[in-house]
Amino acid sequence: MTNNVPNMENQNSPPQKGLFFWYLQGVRGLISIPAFVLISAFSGFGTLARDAGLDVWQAMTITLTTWALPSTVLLAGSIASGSSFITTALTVAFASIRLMPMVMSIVPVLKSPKTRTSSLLAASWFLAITSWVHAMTHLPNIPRDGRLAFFFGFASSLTIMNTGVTGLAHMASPQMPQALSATLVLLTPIYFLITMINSTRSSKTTANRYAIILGLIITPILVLINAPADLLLCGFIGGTLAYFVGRSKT
Amino acid sequence: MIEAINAPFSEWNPYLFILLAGALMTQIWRFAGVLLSQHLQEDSEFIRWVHCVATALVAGVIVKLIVFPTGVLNDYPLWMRLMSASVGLGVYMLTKPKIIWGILSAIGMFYLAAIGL
Repeated sequence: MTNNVPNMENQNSPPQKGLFFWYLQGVRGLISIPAFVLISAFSGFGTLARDAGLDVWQAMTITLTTWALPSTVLLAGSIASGSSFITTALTVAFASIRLMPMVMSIVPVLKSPKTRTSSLLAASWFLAITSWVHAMTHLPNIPRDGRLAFFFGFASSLTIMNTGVTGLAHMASPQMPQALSATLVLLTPIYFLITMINSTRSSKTTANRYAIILGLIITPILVLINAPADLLLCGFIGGTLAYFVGRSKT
Repeated sequence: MIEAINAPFSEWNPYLFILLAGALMTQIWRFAGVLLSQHLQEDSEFIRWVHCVATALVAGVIVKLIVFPTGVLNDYPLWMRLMSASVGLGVYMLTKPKIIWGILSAIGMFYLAAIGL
């Protein structure tokens, strides 16, 4: 992989901008529509976590250490429904696997020949859908030496900011008008639904589109028949069916 | 050991539960992504299957949050939540690939219906 990174890139670049410059450029990305939507969605998570019986520190710990909205919501949801540790862990693990291919696709864009694996491991902590989309859009226009700093600037400040947002929303939710709390909670699934459908527009992702449709259909059935570990089952059944249907169509 | 993994949150140390079932289960995939980025092909069949399972799982989360919510959202009728989601999807279809208008119209609709109740 490192072979096709031309070294000339660095020689031809205009007067070198410092890492701090690129870090700040990354932070500036907080003022953007996707960041704003995510911040609103995390205030919904703060309310959701309170409903699940988590205290404010536990809710903030989840945002800071887990940091991927589907995983945090699943964790809070499993806690609320009294799932066992192993069911919760497997559910979160399966919902988070998609982070692996996302990381794998961003690493070649993010790293320069000098980048250490430990820096990449640290950066990957902050990777989730919003930071992935933002980084994949902007990184190609940034000199390779500044990319990791840019990513850290955006992704880590987004995580830290949303940790604060989670805490504030958790504390504010008893005083919040009920209609507003409910709207913020509803924002999370709406945000997932539309971003997920939007990410399956290309023909390469037909199978994923089937997976969405099957997931939407199977889950209510599993819930209504009181199936144990309904989400895990839905993932396995819907995902596997979608995979084979998608394969037979291509 | 077996008792512990079958026990719910309420019987665990809350932070240990959060760190093991939440943070660790999420971070391992990010770390694996970094370590495997040199070895595993991004478009292998295995990764595709995993992608499908994860997508169906997140679709399941969406249904549970909209159709079977716990807490404050449950105080509002199902038709209101479904109507908002449908309006959002419809607006998204008209304005794609932008996502913001679909999201705003869905939650705007819900908020208006919710304060009207």
